[in-house]
Amino acid sequence: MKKILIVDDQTEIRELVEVTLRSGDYQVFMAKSGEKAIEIARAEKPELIIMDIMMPGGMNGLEATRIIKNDPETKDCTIIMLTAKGQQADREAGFEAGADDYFAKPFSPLELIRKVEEVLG
Amino acid sequence: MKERTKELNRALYDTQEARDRIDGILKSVGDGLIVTDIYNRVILMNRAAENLLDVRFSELIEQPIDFAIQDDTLRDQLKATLDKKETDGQFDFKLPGEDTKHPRIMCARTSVIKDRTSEQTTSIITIIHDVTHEREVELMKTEFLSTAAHELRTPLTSIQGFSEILITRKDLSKEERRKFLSYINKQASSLAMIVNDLLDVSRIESELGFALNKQKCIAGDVIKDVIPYFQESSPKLKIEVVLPDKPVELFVDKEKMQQVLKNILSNAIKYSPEDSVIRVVGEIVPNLELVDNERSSAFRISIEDRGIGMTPGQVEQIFNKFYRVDVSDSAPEGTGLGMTIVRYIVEMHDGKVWVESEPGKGTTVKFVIPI
Repeated sequence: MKKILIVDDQTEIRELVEVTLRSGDYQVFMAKSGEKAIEIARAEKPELIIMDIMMPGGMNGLEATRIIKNDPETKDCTIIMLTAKGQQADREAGFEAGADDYFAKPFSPLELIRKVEEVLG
Repeated sequence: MKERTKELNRALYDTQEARDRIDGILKSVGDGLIVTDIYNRVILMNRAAENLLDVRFSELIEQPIDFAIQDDTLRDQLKATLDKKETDGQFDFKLPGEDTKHPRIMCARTSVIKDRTSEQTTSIITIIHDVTHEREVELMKTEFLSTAAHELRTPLTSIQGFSEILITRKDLSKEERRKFLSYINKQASSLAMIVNDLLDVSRIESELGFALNKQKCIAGDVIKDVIPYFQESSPKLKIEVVLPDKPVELFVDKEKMQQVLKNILSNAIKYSPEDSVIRVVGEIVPNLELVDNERSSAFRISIEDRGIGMTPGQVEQIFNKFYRVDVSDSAPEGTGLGMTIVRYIVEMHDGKVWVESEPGKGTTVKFVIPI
């Protein structure tokens, strides 16, 4: 069973992604901060991390992505950034930090599943 | 012969006077002005340009422009623009400001002067204008738009996502359906508030203003009605309310006043620890602080928190449109409009609002409304 880590500071969004992924056969982990994301990434080595780019109050998604991708233990995790739709700068910053792909908010859950299936093959 | 000499003297005098007049005009023009010939040699430079570039025109007459400019980047930029020999070549450059964190931003713009008959370029005027303030405002607007966009997308994500889940999925429990519907409902309200804030501010901007619906109300009620919402969403917070013994009647737009209280409280909570104390104090004060000359009274409301506080620099900007204390990705949510709207509403009631704060200790926002 593939492991997916969801990282977003907002409880509702985490819940939305979790419910969305429930229809597939995945083991879902959740983190509400960049720091927690790094901790879980190291412990569980998820195949996929869905990471929000903006997380007020602590380490943001870009920083966490950079750290995870630079750590030999976790660099093989695929990271999809959740960005704001139409913000080119967000996308570029995401790729620069090492993200593998991006997905824009607001989103259709069906499309998110399609993207996840595409990435996890 | 004498007539000739007289005429020549007169012509010389007129020319001299014309030149003095032009010199006078150039000296007093606030923007820097440099005129160069087609070989980029300096023909004319006014006092403002001398000061900006820290050079003296007298030392530069007919010298290549290179000698006027110490900064390499600026020299290259200016030469590149001059070499194009066009009008409205433009570029920004920085000059040291009061401190390293606050450089001045200058905009240099070129204009060609052509000979009337041959249409050949004879010289180029470069005007240097201080645009520090404009660029600052542009930057704040861009940041504001990006923050506003983010704030709008957050509720929209819940609304779009959960509604689609409810429509397409058959495997949800009854509790889950109910929960998701309430999320959609709550976020729709949140969205409405954000949109209202944005509209309020754009109305303030265009100075159409909004109409006040003043009515008689009891000061205590206006304040007390607002508290429960905040107390509920921050249960660990202790919100104290102190009011005068006798009820005080105010003639104000109740809804707008409550918006003022909500905006201030919202900030206080945002920048305070979860289990902190916030004091809301209402009291009658002599109307010394207001423009009114008559000895009358005013009602003063103070909202005091024990949060992170602000530096004097931050306090100075707190009412500016689009200003947010922290715009990094790690900043708490907000559009930076709350206090702009607060000041506008208070001033429309002929009142005054101000902020006292100490970094690390806390912030107190006070406003007075005439009774």
